[in-house]
Amino acid sequence: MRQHTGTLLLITASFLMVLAFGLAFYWVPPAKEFAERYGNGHIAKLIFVHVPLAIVSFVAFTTAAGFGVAYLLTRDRRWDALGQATVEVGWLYAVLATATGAYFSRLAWGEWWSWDPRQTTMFLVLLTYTAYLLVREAIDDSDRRAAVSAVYAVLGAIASVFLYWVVPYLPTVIQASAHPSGIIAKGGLDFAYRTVLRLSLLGFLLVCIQLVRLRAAITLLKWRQQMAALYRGEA
Amino acid sequence: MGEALPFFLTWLVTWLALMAYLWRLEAKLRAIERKESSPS
Repeated sequence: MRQHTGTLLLITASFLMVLAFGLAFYWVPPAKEFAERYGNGHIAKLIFVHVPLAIVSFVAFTTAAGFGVAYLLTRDRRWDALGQATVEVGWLYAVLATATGAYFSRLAWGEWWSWDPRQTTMFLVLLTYTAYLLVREAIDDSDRRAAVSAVYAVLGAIASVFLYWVVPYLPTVIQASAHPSGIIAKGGLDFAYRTVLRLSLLGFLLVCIQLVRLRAAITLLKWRQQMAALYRGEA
Repeated sequence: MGEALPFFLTWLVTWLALMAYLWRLEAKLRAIERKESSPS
């Protein structure tokens, strides 16, 4: 059953991703404002990868907080495994969002990293969740590790709301930032961009769900084996 | 085609990175399951 769901998720995600890629390549026109400003209208299509990665990473971090609350309420080990898996996958998505953003920066402004407010807030998100993963590794007692991780995930999600959705939209920050979200927000995305962005977002989300399922299954199986070894008196 | 190359590369590298992580997780899970089902 688990394998069937996984295969179905992956086939659907792959179909959506290939469809989004094909449409982006052959149907979506190069963006005029990007062509005028950066000399290549096609680089606007990077949003079909960069934006879904960033959004799904945020969804993962806030979902991890939900799993954290569920663990604190029930002390059920499955919530802890899901919380850890969600943060780990969210972290990978955030790294890829940062890397694709840096590549856009290189294409548009000629430098990979300029400490633009958007880059800085994403860097802080990465620091926050790198610390989560390190803190988890540093705690040996599994009950304490799960409880600390759950509380950290809740606090991290509160920080994420500010770093993703509040700080970058402050008027002073918008003025200081060269991030092209202003162009997108001003003119709105046209129908082709909106359609492909939604398809791509769904594809990336389904891949994320499958990654979380696998990662959580690994953590739970390992924990079960450790418990079994403990009962046998091996540990 | 040349102007669309950055998008193509971004999409390809991202997809490969995610699939590599997925394959790694699947291999790890299979290894743990084999260990569990084998008699100790």
